[in-house]
Amino acid sequence: MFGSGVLRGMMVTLKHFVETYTEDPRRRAYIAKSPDAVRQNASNTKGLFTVQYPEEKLAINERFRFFPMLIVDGQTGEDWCTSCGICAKVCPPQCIYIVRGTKPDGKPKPEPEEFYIDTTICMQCGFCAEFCPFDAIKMNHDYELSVFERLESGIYDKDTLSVTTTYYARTHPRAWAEESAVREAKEAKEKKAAPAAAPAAPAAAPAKPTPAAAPAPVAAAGAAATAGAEAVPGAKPKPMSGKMAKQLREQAAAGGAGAEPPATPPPAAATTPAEPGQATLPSGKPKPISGKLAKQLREQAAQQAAAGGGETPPTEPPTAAAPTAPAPAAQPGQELLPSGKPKPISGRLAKQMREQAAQQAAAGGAPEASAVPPVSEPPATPAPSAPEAPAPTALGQELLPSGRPKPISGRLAKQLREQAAQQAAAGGAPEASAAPAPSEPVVPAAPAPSAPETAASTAPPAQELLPSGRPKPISGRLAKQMREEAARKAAEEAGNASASDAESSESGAGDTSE
Amino acid sequence: MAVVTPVDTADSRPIEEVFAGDVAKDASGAYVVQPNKLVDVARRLRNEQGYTYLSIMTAVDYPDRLECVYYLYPMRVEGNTATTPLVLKSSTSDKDDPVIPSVTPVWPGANFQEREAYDMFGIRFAGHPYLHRILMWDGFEGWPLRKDYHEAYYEQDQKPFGSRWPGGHFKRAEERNPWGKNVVYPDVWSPEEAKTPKEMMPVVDVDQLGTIHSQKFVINMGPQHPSTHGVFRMQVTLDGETVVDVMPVIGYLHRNHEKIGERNLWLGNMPFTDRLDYFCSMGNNTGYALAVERLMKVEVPERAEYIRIIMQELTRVQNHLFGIGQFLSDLGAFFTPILYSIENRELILDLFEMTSGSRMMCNYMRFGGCAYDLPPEFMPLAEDLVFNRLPAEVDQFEELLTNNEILRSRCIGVGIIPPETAIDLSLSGPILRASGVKYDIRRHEPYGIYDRFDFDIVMGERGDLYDRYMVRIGETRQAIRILQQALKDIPEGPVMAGRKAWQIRVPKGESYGRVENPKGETGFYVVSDGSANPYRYHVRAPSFVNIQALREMSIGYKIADIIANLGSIDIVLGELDR
Repeated sequence: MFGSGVLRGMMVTLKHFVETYTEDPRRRAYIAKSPDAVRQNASNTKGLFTVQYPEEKLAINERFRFFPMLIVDGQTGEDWCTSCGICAKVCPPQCIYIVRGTKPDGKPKPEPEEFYIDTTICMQCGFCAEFCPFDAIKMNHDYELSVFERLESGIYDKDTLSVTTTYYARTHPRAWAEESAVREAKEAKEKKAAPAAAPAAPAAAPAKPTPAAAPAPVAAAGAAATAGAEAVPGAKPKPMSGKMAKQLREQAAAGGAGAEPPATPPPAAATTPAEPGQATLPSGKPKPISGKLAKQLREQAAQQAAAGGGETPPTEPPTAAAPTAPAPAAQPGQELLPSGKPKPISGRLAKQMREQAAQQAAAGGAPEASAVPPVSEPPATPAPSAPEAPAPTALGQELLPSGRPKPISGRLAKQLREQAAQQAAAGGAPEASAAPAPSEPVVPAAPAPSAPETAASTAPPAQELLPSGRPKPISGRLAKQMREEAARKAAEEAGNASASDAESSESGAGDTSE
Repeated sequence: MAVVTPVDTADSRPIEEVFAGDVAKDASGAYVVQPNKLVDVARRLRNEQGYTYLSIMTAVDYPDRLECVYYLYPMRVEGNTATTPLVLKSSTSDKDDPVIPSVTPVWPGANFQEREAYDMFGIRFAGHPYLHRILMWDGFEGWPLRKDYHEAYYEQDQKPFGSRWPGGHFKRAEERNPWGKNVVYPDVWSPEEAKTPKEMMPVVDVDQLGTIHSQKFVINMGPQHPSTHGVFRMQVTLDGETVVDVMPVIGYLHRNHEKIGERNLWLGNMPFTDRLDYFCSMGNNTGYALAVERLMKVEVPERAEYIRIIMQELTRVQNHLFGIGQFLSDLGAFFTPILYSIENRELILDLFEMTSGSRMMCNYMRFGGCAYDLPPEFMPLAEDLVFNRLPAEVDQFEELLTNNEILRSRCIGVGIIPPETAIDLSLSGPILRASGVKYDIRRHEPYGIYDRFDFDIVMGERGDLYDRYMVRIGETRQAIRILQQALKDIPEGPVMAGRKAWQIRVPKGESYGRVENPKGETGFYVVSDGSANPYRYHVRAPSFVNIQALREMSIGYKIADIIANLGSIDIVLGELDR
């Protein structure tokens, strides 16, 4: 019969139409279980097929590759990258640029001093990760990278690219396990060859608590609330990337929604810091905060304010905070890290630290935190909230004039903040009230002691070591991971409550893969 | 199947005897022909020895000569069942005014490929019916694929570049461009003149049809309109609504893929092949890997061979389903069929992603195997998909479309390509088989382990739009059949021969690797001089060759059929323009 073909075809569409009603509740229920990791397969995809991004997201396959990331050891903060340059050579569009580090004596150091990837021409082929002999470059899963302009934010520097081993182990569990097994087998071989060397290494580890990463949070916490005030607001060397800003925003939102009122502290930091920072960063690379960043910061501040109820001037809040943190860190670093690897904390980190401090403050006691922002004089506030904090600030001031220490980056700072919040939560509300102070005993225990030292150590050596004038800031992402790691550790140890600084630091050292 | 009988089987002497002095065999077994005898040799090879199919024609710029290369296969002939190609070469040492006779009188399918060689190397093909630039624009100056040509952002001849960012900090190519905005006009061209478009079509004449005064006129379709596929333009000459002539105008997406390929490391070309036919990156990867593996003489491990088959057939399923969906979109069935096909395509792309890391730009094959083994979750998902879902989905597709009266009346008897024409035009893939030519590279020159699988070559009878649709449906079913066998039999084992290496030594020589991609024959012609980069890297893109059939299948039909014809070719501009 003419037309029967059309009618039968219409029956197919009718079936699909009906399925959107009969199958959809089932499918929605399935998706609701894990809206962040929807896995479509042959048997669960009837009815409406579309995943409602961004409310729902497809599960990310482990091998999914987006832009590259640099792996930094979560314990020692050292780059795994040795700047051998294979990635730059194998890169089909030639978008990787590496500057090899130099030791104080002028000899090349197996570590990149600078590492850039021009993501505007990166074709995401994954060759760099595939052929890196040190497992130092991998493909990141982070695909939400919208920015408002394509040129500046398209160049990823080492700061932006770095992530910790913990982050990598979490996103790529299988690859991590395989590679760890290979590495351990290799190390075992080497140990056999030179058994003497092994003991030396562990001994050294305790002496130098984790350099930048772990300590950063602590320092940040203390510094952020107290010292933060002095940080340079505008001095931040690199404008925050859109990604970071986004994270900050999310964080801010999360903080507002979930945790105690963390909002107040960040603003405080922001308000104060502006002047000192300028002075501190004679490094000559003070890029003004980009408009986008500023906007994001403003939004963040607003969110935080909304969440925490703090009244902070939305204008430059986050940035200001960031610079402060680094300063404190720098001093201790001088003494401790003569190793010649002084990484100044970048502005991003500083910001995160500030935020963290704010959260801590919020957790510990809202009133104190609120007080912080208005305080124009940094020393006063820090003292009460965090005992350790004041010291760093002073040191930081001295150190920063050196011109080398970059403030902790905002992302890191954010991560630090989150970590602090987690720590506070883990530690128990009562203890938390002491928040700033408790940071020493509870979570921070490990990081706290180390932090000031490490930070201090960084600064002096940095001056000596990096005449190049380009101190490597810890990346925001890295900082975040470190913070999270620290938080986790802290949470574990919080239960015991007996964790001393030394213990915690040791435990931390023990648990990283390397 | 009708068979062409060679005209004169009595004279079976090899061509080097017939044309003694003008033809010689070189070390690789190719016939080197003097240019003045090229057409004679070509005619004899085609008419008397059965090499009816010109698969690929391209040129190479050697230091001392410009050489044209032709790969010939027998198709539909008695007495010649060769599965390996006959290679013909002809060269000229005059680089200032290189002239080589055109073989279009013998193999009309050489038309676009010779135009491309002219465009890129400046070789003038005497006797070519329409020797104009095809990928570059008419006012372009220079011959881009000559070794002495340096493009606007030229850095170095070979990667890795010394430094992309000299001076201690990154610098973009745009910022280093001496011309600021990358605008430099060749001497022979001025923007003022160009304001009046040059007439590219044959002169339009006015004639009388009966008592009605009617006029032929030329309309431009595109560069956006046929762009359900990409940026593509057709110059259509119409008489009323009847199509008198069609000329595809291409090159809007041209990026000189081949020049980039010559700069790249051997391995570095792999991700670039993804960007040719971005639906079928797995097939492109395989084709390129095949070409280089033939030079390197690497054996691919068993498991990797199976994985390659699985990936290619999954590619075929998703490409054909999507291609049908797009074809239906072109016919006006907006957007139901294509969305149904996208559903299944998503599930297949998920499998690609979990295996290779990317949904479309897979970059998965390596010389000597595959980049990674299949992840553990692959097999259950793939089996569920291939055994349970896909067969039913194809059935549903057929129920939706095959007997639809509207579809049939639009498709049956439209856009007919007779088998002889299809071979002459060097068509390949479903469009060739729909014309009734039983030719499938997986069968006739099996690569990988295709000879182990049981599948049918799906053919049409009339060579019209409906046959092309049916061939694609049929091939989808056959692909599922191959998948079911492969998933059942896949062995354990390594997926790479030896260690992965990024510095690859490819012995001197040349090779041509071709695969039966969903759209047709995708071939990679590579020449190695023993260095770290290919000396010549040429892609035989099925879309580029198949688009020649558009004119053939459209003339005499209505203008509304042109878009349907275009949809039935299933082009992808990424490889058409490359």
